[in-house]
Amino acid sequence: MSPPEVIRYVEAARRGDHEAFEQLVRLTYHDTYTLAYRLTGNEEDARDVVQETYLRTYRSIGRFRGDAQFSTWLYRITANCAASVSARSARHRHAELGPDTPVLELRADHDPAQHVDATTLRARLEIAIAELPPRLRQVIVLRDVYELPHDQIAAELGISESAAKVRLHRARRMLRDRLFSGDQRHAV
Amino acid sequence: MPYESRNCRDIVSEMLDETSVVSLAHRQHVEQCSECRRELDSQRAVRSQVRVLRAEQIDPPADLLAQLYADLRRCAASPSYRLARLVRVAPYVGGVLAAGAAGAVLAGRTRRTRFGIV
Repeated sequence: MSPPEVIRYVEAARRGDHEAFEQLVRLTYHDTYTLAYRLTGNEEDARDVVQETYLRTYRSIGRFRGDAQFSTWLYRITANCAASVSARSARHRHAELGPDTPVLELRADHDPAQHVDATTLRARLEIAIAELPPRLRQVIVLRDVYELPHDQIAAELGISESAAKVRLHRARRMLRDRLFSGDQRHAV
Repeated sequence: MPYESRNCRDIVSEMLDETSVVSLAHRQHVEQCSECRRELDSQRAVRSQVRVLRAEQIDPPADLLAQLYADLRRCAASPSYRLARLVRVAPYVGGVLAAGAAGAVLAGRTRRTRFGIV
C-alpha cells in the first residue's frame, strides 16, 4: 500500500502539477537509486538509470491508472531502464576493455577487494550478487529482493517468462555455490 | 529422479516461488527425492538471505536529487513535452468548451422562448 502522501502527490502529478511530481521524486529516489544500483552494480549506470526512470515517469504519469501501487510501477520502469542502460553499457565497455578486465565497477564501499576478509554472510552476499552476470543479477534482484511477478520481470527485461524463470534458477544456484561452497576467496 | 532434469528444476522453482499451486505428485516427489529436497533447502536459504536486502538502502550521490530536478525542469520546458501534454489534454478541453457552448445556446433559446421571441 502506498503511503497517503504518495497517493496525494501522484494524483496531483497526474493532473500536471510539476511541484507534486518533484515531491514524489524526493520521496522515492532513495529506493529507486537502491534498486538501480542493485540492478546495474555500479554508480555511474545507476545514476543514468535513475535519471532516465524519472524522465519516463514524468512523461507517462498521466497514463498511470492506479491499479498497481505507484512503487511497483516505478520499479518496473526502473527495471526497464536498467535493462537498456546495462545493454548499452556492456556494448560500450566490451569495445574498450580486454578480456581480463573486470566489468564491474563497484563503489568504494562496495568494492570486493575491500571485503575479501569480510566474515559475515551478509557481506559475502553483497559481493556474490554484484559478481553475478548482469542478466542473472537483474532477475534475482527483481524477483527475490523486490518480489515482482515473473510476467512483469519478463515484460520489463524483454524476455519470455520461461527465460526469466531459467535465469532466476541459474542465479540462485550460482549464489548458493558462491555463498555456501567454501570458496577460498569468500571463506568464512 | 536426478535433480539436473528439467522437470525437477521446475518443481523446485515452483515450490520455492509459491506463486502457483504445486501438485501433490510434485510435492511427494520432493519429499522422496533427497537431491531435490537438498536443492530446495539450499535455495530457500539463499532466498531468505537475499530478501534481507529489501530493507536496506544504498545512499545515492549527494547531487543526484538536484540533477533530477534540473532534468525535470528541462523536460517540462521542452517543446516536445509541451506538445505531448497539449495533445493529451486537448480532448478534455475541447469537451468542456463544447459543453459550455451548447449550454450557452440552450440558455439563449430558453430566454428567447420566455420572452416570446421566435
